[in-house]
Amino acid sequence: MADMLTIGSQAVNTFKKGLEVTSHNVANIETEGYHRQRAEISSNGQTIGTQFNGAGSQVDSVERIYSQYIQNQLVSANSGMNRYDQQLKLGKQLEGVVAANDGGVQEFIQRFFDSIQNLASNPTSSTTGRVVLDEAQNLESHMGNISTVLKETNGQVNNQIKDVAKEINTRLESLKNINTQVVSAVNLGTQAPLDLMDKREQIVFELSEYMDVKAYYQDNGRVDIYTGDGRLPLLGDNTLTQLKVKHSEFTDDNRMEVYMSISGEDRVISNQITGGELGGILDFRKNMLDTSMNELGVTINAMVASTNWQHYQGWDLNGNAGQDFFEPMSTAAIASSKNQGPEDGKNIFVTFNPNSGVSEPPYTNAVGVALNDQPANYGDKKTYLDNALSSLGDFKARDYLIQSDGAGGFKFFDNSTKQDITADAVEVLPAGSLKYQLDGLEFDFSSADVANMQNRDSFLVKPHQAILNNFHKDITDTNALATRGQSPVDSNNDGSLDDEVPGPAAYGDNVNMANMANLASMKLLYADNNGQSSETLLGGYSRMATSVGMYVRGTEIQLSSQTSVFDQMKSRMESESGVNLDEEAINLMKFQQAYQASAQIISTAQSIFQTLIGVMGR
Amino acid sequence: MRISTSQFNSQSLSGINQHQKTMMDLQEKLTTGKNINRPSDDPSGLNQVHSLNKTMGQLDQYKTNGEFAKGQLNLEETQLNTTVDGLQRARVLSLQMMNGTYNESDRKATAQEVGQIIEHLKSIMNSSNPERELLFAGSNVNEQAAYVADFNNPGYYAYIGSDNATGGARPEANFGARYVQISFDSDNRLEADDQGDSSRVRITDNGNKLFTIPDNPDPADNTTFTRGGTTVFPPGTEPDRNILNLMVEFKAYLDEGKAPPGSIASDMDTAIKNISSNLAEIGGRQNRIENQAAAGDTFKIALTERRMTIEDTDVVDAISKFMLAKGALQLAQQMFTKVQEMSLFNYIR
Repeated sequence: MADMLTIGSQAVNTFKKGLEVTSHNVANIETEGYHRQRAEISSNGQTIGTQFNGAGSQVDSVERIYSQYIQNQLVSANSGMNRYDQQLKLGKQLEGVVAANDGGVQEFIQRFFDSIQNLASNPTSSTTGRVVLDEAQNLESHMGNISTVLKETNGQVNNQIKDVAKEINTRLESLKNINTQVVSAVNLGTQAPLDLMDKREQIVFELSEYMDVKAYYQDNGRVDIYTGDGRLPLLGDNTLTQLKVKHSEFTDDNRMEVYMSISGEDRVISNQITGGELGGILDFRKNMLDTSMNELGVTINAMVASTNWQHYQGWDLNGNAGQDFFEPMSTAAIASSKNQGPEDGKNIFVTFNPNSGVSEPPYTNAVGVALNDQPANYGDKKTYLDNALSSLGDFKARDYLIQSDGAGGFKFFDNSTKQDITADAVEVLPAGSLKYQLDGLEFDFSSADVANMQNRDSFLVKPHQAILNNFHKDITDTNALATRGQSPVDSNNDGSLDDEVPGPAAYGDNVNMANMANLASMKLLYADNNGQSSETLLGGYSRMATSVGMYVRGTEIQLSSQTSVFDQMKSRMESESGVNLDEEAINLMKFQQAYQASAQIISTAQSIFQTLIGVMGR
Repeated sequence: MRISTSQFNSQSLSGINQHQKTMMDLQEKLTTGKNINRPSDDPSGLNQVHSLNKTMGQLDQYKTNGEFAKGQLNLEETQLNTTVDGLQRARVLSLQMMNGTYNESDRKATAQEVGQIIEHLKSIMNSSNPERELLFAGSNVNEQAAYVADFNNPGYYAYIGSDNATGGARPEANFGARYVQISFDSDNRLEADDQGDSSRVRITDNGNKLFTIPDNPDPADNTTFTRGGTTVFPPGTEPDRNILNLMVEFKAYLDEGKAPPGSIASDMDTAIKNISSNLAEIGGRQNRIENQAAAGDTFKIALTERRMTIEDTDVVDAISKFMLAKGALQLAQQMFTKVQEMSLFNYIR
């Protein structure tokens, strides 16, 4: 049985601890990740039988008010919120560049076609012709600006991926250290290292800002960190697997990917990261940057091809056949660094060549058998043009992944979705030409080292992004503008010009320029299932701007909903674990009073003792 | 529910943030006057604005084209009117000269005046527009002249599209009309067959069409070219039936002192009728251009209104929202300072 003095002195200690815990709470009111703590007080001794056995109180342990469930949700909400926040920042930045409301690409395209209309009214005027060339030049400069900004954006994305990965690795490193400390503290005694645990959870929370992670708390006090899908261990068994940032397998593509070393092999895990800043950056790159570049590229490719093909139809003021107005799109492939064959992709070409092997302008001036000679008659020439224009409708806003089967054959994939589109590729006749028509484009392997390609050798082509970098006006002389159309003379008077030999109309004819102006109103892009094109060139641009807008708007909505989820979790967490100063003030008074009372017990015990001594001493 | 002290702060902070953002957005809409300042403001609205802008731009361009066409047609009209005047004068003279009261020397004197009319007509028929393009040579606008010396029949003239033309026939000159687009084209294509389509207006006519004299219903009324009755031209290469040659023939009769045959006056009549009907058609084209421009303007007003409803800021609405947001922001700021004062610690002394 404890005496009063012992009970009193224990109670003083107990309440002193209470005061300390309260002070600790007040002191950490501004500490990020701090959970309020509470001294668990219990009574000492037990009543056995009828005898009083009370032995005062003691502090068993100091606990923190903490809910694992809420913490996990908070971490995942934080990942979501930061992802959309990052997406929105990048999205708004790009939106202003590629889809500005005023003075954007569409205005330049419109002005270009307006100038062509003016030239159609006045086809022999060199001044009007000069304006056409100037407008084409303006468009070229504008495209140059855009492609520079897009390239910079790509560089910025690469750098951001590197920086964020560094932040993640630093935090994983600290987690590893704290893990060790927590585990040894847990092994040592009963009191859990509360502040260390708070600090660790704060780091997990910070980690979730950069990428989505799952934290698994083990019984021995260790925490394991996995990627958001719970598959890959970043910190498992306290073994650290750092993120690595390296070029994708298509090195020349200059595209950074996130790698993890899994059983000794570096694997790309970019697709597994869907949260945090890193998730946001990767999503932006895939769903906005790539998509808008490809969609813009489709529009520009269609404009270049349609303008060129209409130009090939005509004849210039000197009576020569129309040549390239813009530089035709032609791009080479990029080889994968994993390829075993010697082909580096530079001999695989993608071009727009809709009448491959039949008629391949720009034409010479006379009818002949060469592919670039004028077709036998005007009707054929028109058919080739119509075929070219309808091929534009097959353009799809995507990049192509080509895989060799090692036996001279190829498989084609959509690089973003990895969908197999080999069935859409049509080999150009004669069989064995090693040229394929796919999505309105020609994939030409005829100069590539196909014989030595190994199975699964891969190549990447980005035809629609290539045109953004290579948009260039070829024509420099106003006399080379093919304003004139086919001669209206019907030599055999059969009422049709289709059987006539291709030849120029008179000097002042404007038919070809009028038709070039018409390209602006013609539906050329995005064919439906019936092969009917559904969008004009400007409509194609508009489509890109709309999908950019949709992305940003969708992100805005996602961000606000994720933010409110986060706020909700945060306020639940705060409500449970946050420090309330008023409450602490009350606790302070409470413990102070109890402390004073306990001290009184000691003093009472003292005075009782004194009384006893006094009686004895008498 | 338990409330932690930092919740007060974060609540105030997020409230103030939100109101400030609302005010920023409204401020942008008010200062630019536009509801859509970037695609994400209204992606589907943007698509509509783009297509409205495009249509309006095209209407503007068609109007510009129409203005150009009208200028060209005016020029042609003036020249044709002058031609008709010249022909009228010649017709009066031919009727006079058929009259027996005029003697040989009168006719020779009149031949001088007819010679002047020939020069006058020739200069009109070979005239150019300010771009130095021949007006009446079809699309062969860069030739020296639309009417050149007759290769087979010296003294006569031939249209460059005729086999008689010096330097050989340019058959394309018998076609060759320039069409200018003044409204939307359903198939967006201009065929090379010289027929144009309903969206376009023809702004040139070739000399063959305007100045060749159509055959009369009674072949006896057609002038037979004989150089004033002195020469018989072999069939096939005789001079063309154009108004210049008619005048040349007329003059030849007068030079010979002979009275011109009645067919000359009737051919002049036919020529005048032909040119007049062409003039009426040109007037019709000008009307079409004007009607089209007026229709385009009306259309554009409708489109502008539509664009306004999509794109422009409703100022009254935006200002009242702005005032509301301003009030809310001020309130939130006041709340913050009030909440800050509340603490039990203030009462522990």
